[in-house]
Amino acid sequence: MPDDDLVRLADSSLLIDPGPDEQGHDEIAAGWGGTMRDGLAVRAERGGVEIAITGAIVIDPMLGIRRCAIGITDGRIVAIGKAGNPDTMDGVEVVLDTATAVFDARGWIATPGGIDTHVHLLSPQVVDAALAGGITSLVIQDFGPVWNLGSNPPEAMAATWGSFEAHPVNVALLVRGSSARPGPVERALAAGGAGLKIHEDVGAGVPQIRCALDVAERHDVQLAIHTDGLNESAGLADTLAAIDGRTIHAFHIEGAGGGHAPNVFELAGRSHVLTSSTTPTVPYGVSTVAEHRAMVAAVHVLEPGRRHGDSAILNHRVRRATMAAEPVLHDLGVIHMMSSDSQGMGRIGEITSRTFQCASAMREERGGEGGRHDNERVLRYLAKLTINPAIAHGMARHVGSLELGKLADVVFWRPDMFAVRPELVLKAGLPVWGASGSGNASTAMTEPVSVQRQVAAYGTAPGRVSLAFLAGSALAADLPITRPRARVEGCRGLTAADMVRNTRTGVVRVDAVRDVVTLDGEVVAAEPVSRVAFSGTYLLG
Amino acid sequence: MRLLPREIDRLLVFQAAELARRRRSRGLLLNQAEAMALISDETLEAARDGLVFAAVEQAGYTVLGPEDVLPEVAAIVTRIELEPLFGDGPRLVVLHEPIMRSAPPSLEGAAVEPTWIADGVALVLTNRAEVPVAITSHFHLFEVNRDVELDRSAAWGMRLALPAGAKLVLEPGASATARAMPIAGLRVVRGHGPLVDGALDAPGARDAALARARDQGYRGA
Repeated sequence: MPDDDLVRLADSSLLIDPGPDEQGHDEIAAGWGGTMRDGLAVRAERGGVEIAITGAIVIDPMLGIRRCAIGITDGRIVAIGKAGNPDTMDGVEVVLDTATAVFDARGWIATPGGIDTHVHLLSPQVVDAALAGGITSLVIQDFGPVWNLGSNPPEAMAATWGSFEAHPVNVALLVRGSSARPGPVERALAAGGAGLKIHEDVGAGVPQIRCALDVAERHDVQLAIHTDGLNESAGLADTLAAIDGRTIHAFHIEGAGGGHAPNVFELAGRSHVLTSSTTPTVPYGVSTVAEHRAMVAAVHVLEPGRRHGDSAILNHRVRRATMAAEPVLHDLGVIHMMSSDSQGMGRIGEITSRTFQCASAMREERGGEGGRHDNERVLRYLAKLTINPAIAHGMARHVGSLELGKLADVVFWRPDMFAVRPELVLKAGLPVWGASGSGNASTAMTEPVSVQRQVAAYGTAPGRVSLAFLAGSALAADLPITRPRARVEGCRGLTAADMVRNTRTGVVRVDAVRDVVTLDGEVVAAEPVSRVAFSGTYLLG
Repeated sequence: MRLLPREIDRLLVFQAAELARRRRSRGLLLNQAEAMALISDETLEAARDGLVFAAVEQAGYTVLGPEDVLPEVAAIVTRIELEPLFGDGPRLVVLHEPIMRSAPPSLEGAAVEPTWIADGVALVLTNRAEVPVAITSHFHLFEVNRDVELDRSAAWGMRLALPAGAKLVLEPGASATARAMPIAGLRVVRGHGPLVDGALDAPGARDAALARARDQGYRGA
């Protein structure tokens, strides 16, 4: 059993040490006879924050793990530390006044809202699933069940933007970068895009890569790439030559999601290639290989056994060794990010749970990292779904952590249901999603309690609490939106060293003959897990 | 049927519970959602059977024990709030750790001695009012209810050395020796009562406030 002061994350092997309570004896106690009354912990003169979060265990890739309050004004985080009334308490950073609204988060964990950089918006239902999984920013590359792989054309982008007036999430649209000439790419970007996507299903050859990176460099946006799994016109070396040392975001780096077969994984470990995994292969489970044979065929319209060549390319793409290596490379910080690949093989509501399932499995297989808690490992994995995708796609001035100045997108979890069922999701400090019960009941938590939309997810509120991320060339685009616009920036010249808590580089090799993956010559392989944490203990299934 | 939203909610509980019942009948140990649904459903049905409030509440603690659920689950199910439909309408029933416990916890706690967070200064307080008076951790003791007798001068700038949210409750006629500690921060008191509205340490503040307290009949001023 853990020591009394350590907190176990749900049914996983991960223990965190939350550190001392920065409130000391000045706890912000809500309710009858509590301290949240005028003159006690709050004061009657302005100068306080508009909204405060008190009592939570904050887990944040930049702030670390702390028991502190967070102050929010105009939707942004403006204070971090002890909360209260400086007239009667020492050391107050988050000033409460008689107009401050307080989220009493005692007993809860607070994390930054997650960022999914790999969203196929094949149906709008993915948005609800994302929010229910603690994801508050979506980098999207489709608008429906069309073959697009990039949000095009302008009419469709405008409709997509318009639909998000009803959804309290930050949005960035990637436009199709699979184009040997820049005209269509730049026009789409200026019509409401925030980055580029290359996909082999619409062309991922050397001309497309060169052209898209030129556009990305001109507009300071990121290029996300799914490389050529057929190796038809280009192999890995040709792709690397076309990239030419420029920063790029390589999707589903393990390869079952697509890309150079069998060796796309060799893009990992290189300084200028920012890498992400997708949910289907993480964590590596006893059913992963079997599922992928069915899944790849279904998603990518293959007819193995009926159409010549389909069985062969399926076999090239679904590889045990790379799947087994992926969790270890996450644990070592070689892979920087997690994402969903929603409805294009991935499950958007499971990014958080699968990330920490991987962390828990690695804790069990590879052991602790010294000390009696797993704070560093937990923070390393949290960075993969928060700050690192924000940095990679130029959104980190606004989202990705709970640092001062950022949008107050906060997810609250009960520790015993961490990464499974969020208690409450705040967007810009306001409740958009969370647990609540029957509307007629005398309490808000009368069964059946479901995780569902809350006040700021209705009416015109989503536009007030969400950002539109746009390329500089799209900032003034004619879009049917009310939400504030934020420019993506700082996307170029990024390296692995910019990936928070995940900076390891090295030489990754896929040895198809020996069926192993090596990092700097050492074989990396995890055992498949038969029972994951954050899942069957809780979910109806 | 013209079902109301709250009746649809009831069916959601039933559906989840029925899934749990089937799984249980196959010998499976229940997980968190299954266990909560089954306990909820059985408790709601106890009211439909005509049981009185206490019996319905008790029923909620007899549905599942730790041996019926997955290893982690008994501790996760800390609280279930339900509104069974009794003869006199829907009534809120709150189950506390209904898998770990076999009966509701008593709300009548044994008398708990206050936990003082500092030795501070000992002050004797006596409630001369006809009503109980509860004093909380961060309240300026100087301004406590006029019918509480204490050395108001000694209580200037002091608060009870209690953890936030704890109360010292004085029944009519009761006395207690409390530990008091100085108010911290900038030591500005506003809004606690009618006597003080400013810096505690300003020259003459205490004497002026004591004079006001005497004028207004505060005991011990």
